[in-house]
Amino acid sequence: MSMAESLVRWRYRLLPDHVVGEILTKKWIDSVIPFTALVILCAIFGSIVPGFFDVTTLTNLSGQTAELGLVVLGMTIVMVSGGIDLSVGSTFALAVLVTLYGMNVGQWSFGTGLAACLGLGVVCGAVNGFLVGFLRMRAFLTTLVTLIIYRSTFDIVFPHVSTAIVTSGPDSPTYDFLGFGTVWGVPTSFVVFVVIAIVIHLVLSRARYGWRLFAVGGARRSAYNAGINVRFTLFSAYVLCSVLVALSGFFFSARIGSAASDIGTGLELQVLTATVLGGISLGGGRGSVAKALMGTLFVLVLSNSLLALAVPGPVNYLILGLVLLLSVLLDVRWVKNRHKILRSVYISPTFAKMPQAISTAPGAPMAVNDRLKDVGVIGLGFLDGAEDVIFDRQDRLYTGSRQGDILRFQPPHYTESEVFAHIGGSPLGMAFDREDNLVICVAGMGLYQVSPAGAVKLLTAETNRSLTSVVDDSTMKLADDCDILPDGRIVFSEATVRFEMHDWYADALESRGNGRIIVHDPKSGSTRTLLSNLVFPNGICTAFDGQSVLFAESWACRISRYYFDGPKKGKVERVIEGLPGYPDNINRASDGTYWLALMGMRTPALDLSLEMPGFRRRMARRVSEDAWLMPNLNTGCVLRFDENGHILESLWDQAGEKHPMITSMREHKGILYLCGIFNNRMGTLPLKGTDPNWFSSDSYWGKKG
Amino acid sequence: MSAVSRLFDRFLGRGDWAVTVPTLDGPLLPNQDLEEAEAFASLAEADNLVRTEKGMLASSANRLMRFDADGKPEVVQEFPGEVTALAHARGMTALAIDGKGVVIRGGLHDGREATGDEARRLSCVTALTFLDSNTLLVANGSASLPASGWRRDLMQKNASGSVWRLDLKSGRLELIRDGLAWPAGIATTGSNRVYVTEAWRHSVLAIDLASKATAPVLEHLPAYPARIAPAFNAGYWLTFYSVRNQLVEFILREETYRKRMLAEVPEAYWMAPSLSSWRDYREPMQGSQLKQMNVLKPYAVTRSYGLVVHCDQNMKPLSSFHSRADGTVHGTISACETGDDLLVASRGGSRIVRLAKVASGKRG
Repeated sequence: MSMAESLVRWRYRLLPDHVVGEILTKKWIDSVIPFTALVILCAIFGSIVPGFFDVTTLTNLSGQTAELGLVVLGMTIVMVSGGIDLSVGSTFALAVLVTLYGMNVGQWSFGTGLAACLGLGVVCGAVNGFLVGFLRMRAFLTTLVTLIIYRSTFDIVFPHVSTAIVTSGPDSPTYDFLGFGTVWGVPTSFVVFVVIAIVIHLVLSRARYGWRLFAVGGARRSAYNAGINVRFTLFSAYVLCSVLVALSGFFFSARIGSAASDIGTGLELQVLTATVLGGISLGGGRGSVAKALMGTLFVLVLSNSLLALAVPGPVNYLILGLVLLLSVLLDVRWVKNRHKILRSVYISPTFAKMPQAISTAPGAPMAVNDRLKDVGVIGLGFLDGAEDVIFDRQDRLYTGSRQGDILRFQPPHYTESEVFAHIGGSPLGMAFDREDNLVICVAGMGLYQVSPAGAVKLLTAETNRSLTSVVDDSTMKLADDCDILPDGRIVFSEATVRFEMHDWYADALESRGNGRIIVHDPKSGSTRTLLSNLVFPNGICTAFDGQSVLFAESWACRISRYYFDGPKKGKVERVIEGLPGYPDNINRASDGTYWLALMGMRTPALDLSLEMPGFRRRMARRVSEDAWLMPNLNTGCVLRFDENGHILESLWDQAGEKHPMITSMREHKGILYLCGIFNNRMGTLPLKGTDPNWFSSDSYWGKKG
Repeated sequence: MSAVSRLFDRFLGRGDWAVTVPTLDGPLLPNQDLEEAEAFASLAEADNLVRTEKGMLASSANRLMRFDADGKPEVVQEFPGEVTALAHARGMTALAIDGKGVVIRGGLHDGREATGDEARRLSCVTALTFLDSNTLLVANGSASLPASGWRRDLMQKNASGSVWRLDLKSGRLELIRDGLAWPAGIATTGSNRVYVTEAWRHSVLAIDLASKATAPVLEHLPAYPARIAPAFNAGYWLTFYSVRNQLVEFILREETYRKRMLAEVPEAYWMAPSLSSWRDYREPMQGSQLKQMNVLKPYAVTRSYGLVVHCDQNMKPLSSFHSRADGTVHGTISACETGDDLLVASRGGSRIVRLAKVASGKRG
């Protein structure tokens, strides 16, 4: 191996590019930009504003955070539901007016004051919610109008009571404790705010109401079709928002104790900046409490610091406006391009040098021939997605279909078929256990069992999560082929944990060890990963020795043996290396050897590209999927090999007219049945000189009455 | 363009690094006319169709064949090398023999053989056209490769082709234009201008024989143009090697892969345009070529294609005949009118097909 090649090999071994894509699929990735912005902002102002980290500054900040934060949380709820509330500033002013009048002038108790204030919030929110939610008015215009109405109401009432408010004071220790008290040195209002924020976080992320809110904001029509009461959900969002705003006004009144005539003006700008900057999408359906908090802190730190630096108020607002503009731009670009970035980054090919292919020259056991050119046919034009085939003790033939059915064909001609069971996912590898239950790997769904009566049962869809996984890999993406050990445990392959079944070619392009072999014990119900980092593990077959399983790794073109018992327990041995094609299912043959399907053949142009991960990565990004270099799956082949990995014979359909792709084959009573998941038929080839009574379940479990 | 923006383009896949391919649209809208055309004759390596008074001439590797009106073949002569180009006028047949230069059979210069020097300079004759009875126009595809090395020339990104004027009396060679990226066809126009296809630049050029001024007349073709044959309406039949393929365009910009492929992979298995597909399981496969329900989609991307385009006298495409990804009449690099019919030689499909009544001017 050359120096350059070793460098490339080590670069791809040491720097796992695929992790970048996996991190990008994480939900918290949305918050990275606002978080970074917040850290940078604190770093900048922390160094230039005097006393930035002083206790008094922080106490002051936390008090303000409680008030602004509540409004931002309210706005978050409305924005998540897909709306906007511009009237928060006026509602805030009205709430302050009611609270101050009641507490100062009316000498109300804490409870009465709070109830009156929140009641005002409910009324204001209900007006907004009714207009937007039930009358279907545009949120932007409606709340703009209510902004003016609420503000006018305030302006009309305030001059009449302002003197009275200033000349009297509240008489409620609880009220004062809320305004000036501390709990372990932390302002009371902030503690209350934290509690409320946690509750809202739990509701939004864990509770039914929160999920409905996200559903309505994300896709209103779908939410409606799913049976969600869209109108009420919208209505409630506005009510909640205004109640939170009113509570914020209550906090403010308790802390300041008086009001100016311009109170709450411009609040909507601050709040919108905070929400959008935090990453709560204007389009609805995206947002969280953590994001709202980050945005709030950002806005407060920015405006307080500017105040401390004696920047005039209008300039302060100007800067806030510019920040809002920038965050709206970022929000739009991010939401629009996020999946594009993810798509171009997710596929990350790795270095894979293919061994020299076994010769297919004339005379060799792998010599190209046309023995599959004239074979019998089952289900022509009817089968669609028959990946594997198996027979029961009554000679009935079972195979899968793309529609998620298990089809059963009746002997002897196999022309009549019925739907034996419906599972829903694409059925792949199949095996019969000792009790004649059919065990099936279903793509995207896991391992299933169908009883002889046709009852479908999920065996397992989860295994243990691997320690180093970024994305949770415990659920199964592509269970591929299974077989049953003599003790009844089911061993099966999961081809890849990174892609869905229809993206199989992306995994081929990566050629990384993304797959694993899993064992499920039906007795205890436990599922455990046996081997991981396998290159598209596909076919799997319990060997005749009763101690090992043979498994194929498709993109690595090799067959290996795993010992589950005996002196070599736990070891993996290579059986065949350098196959000229991509191995798929392995099944037992009648004479103690094994049948192996090659789903497609290697091509030198693709083999070369496997040594050049950068080339493949650029190809994945620049070239349309239609034109990607792929394994040649238009020429399939079946071969037979013995226990030592010697290839004995091969059967080809060179032109790929009848069986372009062969994913599985099974010998049954002297006939070899051939399957291909993309083929429109199943082939039958009478075998010469084989046991005409050999049947695979007998070979596994012995003859039954 | 500055070096910085070029680097930027390269990183982002823009500008020169974009791998977009024009679509087959307008007059080039795909159909199955070539695929469904009746077979005229079966002929391995069918190429170089030329009409004579005695019947149709065609080449099959190193053999010169003659066909009567029913497609009955007759071997006229065998040559020591492959017949790479053919022209006929006034009872004279000019043949380019691989490695032997231009020879003449019949007519005024019967028995002419090329000198060693001429054969060396014209080592890759891709097209011949009589200018008059003493002058031949010769397209020499590449300075470094023989005519059969067209795929290598494309994948090496060569531009060493040239067009020559050969005086048959004196044997004098006059260079008209060089630096061409595989000139593969020449057609005269009746004036001093000639049309020359420049395959790897996907264009047809008009070259003035007197002033040697060159101007493109047809550009941004979605395929690699090959020969030009005169058509009934004073127009032309333009034939093509194959259509362009996005992956090939990409590989042409991927220096390391391209060079390693040329050095390490046998030519038959290159990811490069070809005259036929699916001859061997080691030929590369691309995404959309995967057979679904045993069917190869006609609209799949492909390395080989059959395309003949009918152009007017200004080389403006009027209509076209196709054999698509699922077909076999591929590598149609030669076409010739006979009566109201058009014969097309498919090198990849090893046969000559007849498009009946397309040259009568009565269509549409």
